Amino acid sequence: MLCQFCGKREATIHFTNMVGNEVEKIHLCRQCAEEKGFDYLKKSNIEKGDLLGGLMGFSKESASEKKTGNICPNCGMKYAFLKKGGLLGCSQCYVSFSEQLFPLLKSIHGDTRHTGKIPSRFGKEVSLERKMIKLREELNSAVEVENYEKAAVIRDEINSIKDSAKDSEK
Amino acid sequence: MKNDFKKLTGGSAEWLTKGEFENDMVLSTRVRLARNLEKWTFTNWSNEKDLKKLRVKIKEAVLGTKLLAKGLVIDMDVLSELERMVLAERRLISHKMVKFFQNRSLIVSKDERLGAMVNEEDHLRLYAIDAGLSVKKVFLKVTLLDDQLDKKLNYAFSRRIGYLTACPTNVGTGLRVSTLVHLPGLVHNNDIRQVIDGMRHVRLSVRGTYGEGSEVVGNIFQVSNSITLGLSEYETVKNMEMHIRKVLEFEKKARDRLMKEAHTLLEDRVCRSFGVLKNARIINSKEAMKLISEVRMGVGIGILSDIKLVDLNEMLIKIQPIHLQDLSGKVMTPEERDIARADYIRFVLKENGEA
Repeated sequence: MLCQFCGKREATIHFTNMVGNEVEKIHLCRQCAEEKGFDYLKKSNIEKGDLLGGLMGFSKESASEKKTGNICPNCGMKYAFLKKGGLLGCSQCYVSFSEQLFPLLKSIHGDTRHTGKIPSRFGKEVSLERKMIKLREELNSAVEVENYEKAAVIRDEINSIKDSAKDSEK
Repeated sequence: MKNDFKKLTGGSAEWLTKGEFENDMVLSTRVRLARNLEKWTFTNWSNEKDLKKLRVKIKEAVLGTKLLAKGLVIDMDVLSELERMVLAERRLISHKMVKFFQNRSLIVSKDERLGAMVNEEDHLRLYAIDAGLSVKKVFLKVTLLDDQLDKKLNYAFSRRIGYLTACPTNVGTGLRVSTLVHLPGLVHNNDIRQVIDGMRHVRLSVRGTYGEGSEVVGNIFQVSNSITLGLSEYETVKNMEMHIRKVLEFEKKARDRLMKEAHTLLEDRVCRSFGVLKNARIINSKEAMKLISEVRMGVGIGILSDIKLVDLNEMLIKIQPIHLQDLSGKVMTPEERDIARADYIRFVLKENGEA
């Protein structure tokens, strides 16, 4: 079978496409496939760093870059360098460049809050914090549906956790 | 320091050839966790002096865990480039580690199912691997190793965004689950594109056989989770297993359809591939992969019965360019390798086949 685009070379790549209820079949040669962008699994020329750097580049014009400074005080990583390589210099970089990094994390992961495993030395603290976040969300939704009885119960629970946290600080 | 390289490479990668979860559609499941130590700069931004100290510290911690106390220790800087490439072909280290080897190490269990890369992109990359689809079991193993290390090392962690990693794409759980799936049925039926789009839709990334930026060879795809922040490890593992099972269902259907509607055509294809493998005198790795893929499917659907899946799995490892090489001898040219590859394949098929 010949490629339906150039009509010259043998078709080696075949796609089945659904257009509405119609099944559309496309037969094309490697060269045309590459040209038409059907070579979705071909080796990419884009380096990971370029891609991430490009994404970070969105905030390039914003004033926030000047405000947060463009160097990490802990490791000396420069923001410009980070954009190029895509890798951070140290764990502190997440704080130093947080204004640029948080939108990036959101666009990569769709979320910016960790809900998984916790190192043992953080264990108690974080699980309490997570419980509070969950309770506050529950409180808001209870208020929204005007279930004030439930809201009061949740509020009391939040307060008791706060109190016990204060006690343990003393 | 004594080096354990020689102890490894004699045999075949046990996880791939002696797997408990043999599967004709899933070659392997690999789970890794990325971890860094608090207060130290990340590997890429670190100097040799710090990397040296880090290596000592981390190696000691890893060898102090129950799971890897008897692990083989391999320092990258005492190996030749070829030897490092062998480790990469066996998926014990990354290609990055072949290139950047100063103060880098690997600690790996004898069966090659559990390992830790020291000073890779992150200070620690813990991984577990097994044959077939066994996401939960493999995850539990690596997370247990992580728990044992957690007591010895202070991991860099943020309450908001989780485990901190050199690359923002790994932050959160630092968890990457990768499965190698063999989908010739979907490729033959032209349904693969839709399935890949579907997988991307549920935020799985689909890549070539050898990971990032690599080409798909022999209809073997690498599928992994692309999100590490917002989902817990448990959710990631559960989702992954669920989605892969769905893809396997599609593959099964595609194979059944081929068997029903194009039985003779399929049989012809599988048997021709087998014939070429049994008789070729010169074969490059791409062609070999392609043919082994056809034969593997043939075994999976029962067209061929005189060869075992595990032997084909082992073949996929051993036909790689560096594995064919005699490591102590001179470097082989690509042409010499193609001849050695054909010899090796004929030898294996003769041992197993009708002879």
